[in-house]
Amino acid sequence: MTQVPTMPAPPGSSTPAGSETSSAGLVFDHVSHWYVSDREAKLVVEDLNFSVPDGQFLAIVGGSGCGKTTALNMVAGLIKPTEGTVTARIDGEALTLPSPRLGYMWARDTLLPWRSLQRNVEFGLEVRGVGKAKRSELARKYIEMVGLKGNEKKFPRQLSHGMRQRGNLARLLTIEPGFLLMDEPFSALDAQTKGVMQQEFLQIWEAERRTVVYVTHDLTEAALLADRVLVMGQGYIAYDIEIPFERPRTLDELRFSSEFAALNRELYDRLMDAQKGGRAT
Amino acid sequence: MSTTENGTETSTQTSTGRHHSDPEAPQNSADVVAEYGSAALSAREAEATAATAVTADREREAAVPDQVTSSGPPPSADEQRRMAAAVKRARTRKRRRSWTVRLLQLALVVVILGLWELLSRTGVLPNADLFYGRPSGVLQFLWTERAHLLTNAGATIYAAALGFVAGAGSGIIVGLVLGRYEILERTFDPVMNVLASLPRIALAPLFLLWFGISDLAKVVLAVSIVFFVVLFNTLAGVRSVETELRTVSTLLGANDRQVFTKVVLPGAVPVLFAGLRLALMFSILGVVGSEMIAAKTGLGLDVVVYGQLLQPNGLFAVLTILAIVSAVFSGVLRLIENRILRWMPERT
Repeated sequence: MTQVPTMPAPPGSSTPAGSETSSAGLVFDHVSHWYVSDREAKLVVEDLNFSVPDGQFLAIVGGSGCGKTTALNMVAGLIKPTEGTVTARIDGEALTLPSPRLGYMWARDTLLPWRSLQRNVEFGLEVRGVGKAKRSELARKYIEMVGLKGNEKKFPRQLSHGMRQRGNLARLLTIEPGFLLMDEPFSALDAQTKGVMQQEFLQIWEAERRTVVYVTHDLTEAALLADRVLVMGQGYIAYDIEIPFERPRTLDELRFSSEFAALNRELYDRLMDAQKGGRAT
Repeated sequence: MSTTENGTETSTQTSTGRHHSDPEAPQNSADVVAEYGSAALSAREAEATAATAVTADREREAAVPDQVTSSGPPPSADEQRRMAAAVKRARTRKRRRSWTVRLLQLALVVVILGLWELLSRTGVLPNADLFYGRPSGVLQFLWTERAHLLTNAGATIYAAALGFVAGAGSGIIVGLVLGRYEILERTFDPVMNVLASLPRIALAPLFLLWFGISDLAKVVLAVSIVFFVVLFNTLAGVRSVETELRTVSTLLGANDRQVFTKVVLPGAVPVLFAGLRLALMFSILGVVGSEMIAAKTGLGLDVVVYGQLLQPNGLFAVLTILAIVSAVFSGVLRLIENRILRWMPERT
């Protein structure tokens, strides 16, 4: 299959596709954002209008400065959009942003350097007032799940970059987020670690199927992990592409299949087109 | 001399720590890094560490099935033996190097003192007894005047310690409050800057006027310097905590108070300690300065008296004591710092 079904973003429509159902995990309703500094005011994203069904794995790809992280930060509630609204829901219930039920993972390792891995992973539980015994037990469970058992007492500087990102993931999982935001979480890892972590993350995700918004500049990664990819041009959504591969996915097989190669090619062309200002019409 | 030695020793360790802190370095052991970071290592301790390092490394690699760090199957006995040997060799080499450095440092000091003694005795330095003194004379002075010097050193140390504790304590508290509430910081900023830019030693006569020729006058002058040094470093420390860490903590559900106590506060400690180290020196400076202007006891008073009496050996004796006091103070502080900042990858 070379022809990938594409769904053009409907620029003219008044309501984003799927927003009528309250089960949508995420709705961007005609969202624009102006970045205002002392020197300039710049339109970072313009009229983002889309909806994500509950439990979908959405990837957003695009070049640097295209506004993909801005979009993610708007879901997290770190940025208030200047126009339009962003609504995130967990099990049909709309969240007040920023919400502690939302899990956000960054590209950079953000473990607190003065805390041991164990105490870092406990952080989210600690600030929620979970008792010492309980949080210690939960942290251990997730540390083991991400494959870091035996490193509980180490400080972040004593861990490799890949291990620190695993720690980040464990910390995120302890708070059992109903909604995941990922900003290039594995981009700084070497190819081998990246592959392993993508598979592990996917396995954990496929067990729970919470809504994910996954920002990346890595097309292959987007195609491997996501159900759907939004390709961004400068500040707008150029293409909306469904990823048809069934789940659960075995990435090391999928990665080298001919269907995947074709899809990857398609995504690449779309991205290049979007960089030149192209969009689905 | 002990300062130099101390300083060099620490910097050697720091560079070692940095080298070892690359978690993917094959011979790295996290425990060794922690050990090296924590305190000065005696040769015996180093040996003990070397022994545990091997097992720690192995435990780590065996326990962590991380694709990045683990290198295949568990080690054979032969591999373990080779690793132990490699670690031992590396440690021995390093120990030898650090002893060489120490010998060179000692040699440097001996040469300088010897030259001074020689120039003074041969008369190349004219009227050495009145102007330049000589090391043997200084030692003699220290011995004969020991009772007097000890009393005065005690007075100076007492006032400096008091000034340090009071100034640093209040500086940290005010710094944290201002760091927490930006509006307060901005309100106080101009006033603080003016006060902090005053040459505080010029306030000594004022304090002497208010508090008389007393310990209080010295302490207050020290506080007036220490307070601002620590205050500004606390603020800088608070600001040095990366915004990302705060944001991430907020996203993980921490409220403002928790972000402050669990993220900002511990994150500010490294910069704060840099301020404390400076503050210690400034505390002694303040006390000695105050004593030089007017005092009943104290090393500052001695400096002035011996200067006026043309007793260079006495002057140098006092300076020697002051150098030792400073070195001991900062050594103690460094020990505390090393203990608290065990998590730091490198230190300056």
